[in-house]
Amino acid sequence: MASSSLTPVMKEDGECRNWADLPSELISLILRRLDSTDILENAQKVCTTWRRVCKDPAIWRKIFMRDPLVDIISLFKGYDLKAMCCHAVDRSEGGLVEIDILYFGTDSLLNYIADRSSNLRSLRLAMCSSITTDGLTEAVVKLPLLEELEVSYCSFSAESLKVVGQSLPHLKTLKLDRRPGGPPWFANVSDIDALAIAETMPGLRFLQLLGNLLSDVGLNAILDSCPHLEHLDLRQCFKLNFDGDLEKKCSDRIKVFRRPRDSADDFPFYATIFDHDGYYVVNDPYER
Amino acid sequence: MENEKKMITLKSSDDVTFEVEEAVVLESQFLSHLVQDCPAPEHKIKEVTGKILSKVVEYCEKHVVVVVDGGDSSSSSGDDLKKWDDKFIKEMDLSTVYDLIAAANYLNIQALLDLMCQRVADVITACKDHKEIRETLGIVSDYTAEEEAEVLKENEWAFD
Repeated sequence: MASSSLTPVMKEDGECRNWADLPSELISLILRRLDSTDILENAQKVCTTWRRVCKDPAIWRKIFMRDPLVDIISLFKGYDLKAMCCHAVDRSEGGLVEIDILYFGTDSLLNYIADRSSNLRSLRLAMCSSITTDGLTEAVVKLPLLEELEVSYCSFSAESLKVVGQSLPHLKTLKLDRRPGGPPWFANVSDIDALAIAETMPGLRFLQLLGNLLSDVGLNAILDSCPHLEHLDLRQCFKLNFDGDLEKKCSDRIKVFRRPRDSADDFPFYATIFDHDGYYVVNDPYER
Repeated sequence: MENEKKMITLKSSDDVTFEVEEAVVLESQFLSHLVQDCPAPEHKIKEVTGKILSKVVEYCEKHVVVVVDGGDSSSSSGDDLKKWDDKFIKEMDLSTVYDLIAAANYLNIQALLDLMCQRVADVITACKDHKEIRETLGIVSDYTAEEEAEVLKENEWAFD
């Protein structure tokens, strides 16, 4: 809705605008786009207006802690990302809807979030190597409203996938990408996992399985069981042969279909695997 | 069938006029209500200057065209639109961004508001600390010395 009490911000050309004079609701729209570490470490120190906006739980409905450099910076500046994340969750006062964590997630942090965020719709975890499949399962079953789950390069068993699928009736988006640089047998989605997805997640719209090991069997099961699937990303899944009319079945039914050999350059963590029997070339996220 | 497009004139606070197709006006929730409720050929927008209104019109014209054409090849036109948006922002100084945020909010053009807010967020992210944010955005700190010391001390997330 347009604000009814518009402040007279249209000044003569050339005059400097004071960004602290912008109405609070607009400052909030800007600041809620920042990485949470930037809000706590920088934005809230700027002036009293910004500080007040940063204390408002509304700004903490989404928590992003996904700067690839953040764990280096945090070591350098001496702050604890887990403690910072807990502080951000506290500030949301139960209103957290979306959270995005890179690297530093642990089982205890996940459960801290899950115990305080029953409204959470989107949980995205990437490269959190400390998270165990049990810890993740324990947290996720406390989040029945979850619609989006990303667990990229963390371990996640087929059994857990089943429990997750059964606990999350609203799940529409699932991203399970493989640990970069790991050997092929580290892949976390094989056909067993694909069958678990097919069995328990019939409501999926968006499925991303970059660099995994499912074969035609698993893919067929998913296609048969997930009638609403609109986006399917199978880049670098080199065990797929697409025998018979499987590829046509995908491209006819799925609006956005990414094939195994499509470019992964736009993927934030790693780009290229040479071929299915060989070498992995990993883009280090620190190099940006 | 006669395919003549309905034109509407918008007049800025400083009396600059813009003749635009009705479809362009409909990008703004505020203007579409205004046009529906009072079907005059010309509408004065007292809160927005000609300089800013020209940017708003440019943005809405671009976005309305792409949506209409997008029926056939939506993905490529989506990419083109993103490129256009990037260029649109890149050429803009922060004062203009400020005025466009206020204008997009007043005229209720969500996509433009999002674009401009993201631009400022990117500028803030590029700053190394709160002092650089103040300098970049021309904000004068209104903390007293005691308050400032208190604020800087707040770091429950520091390693013990």
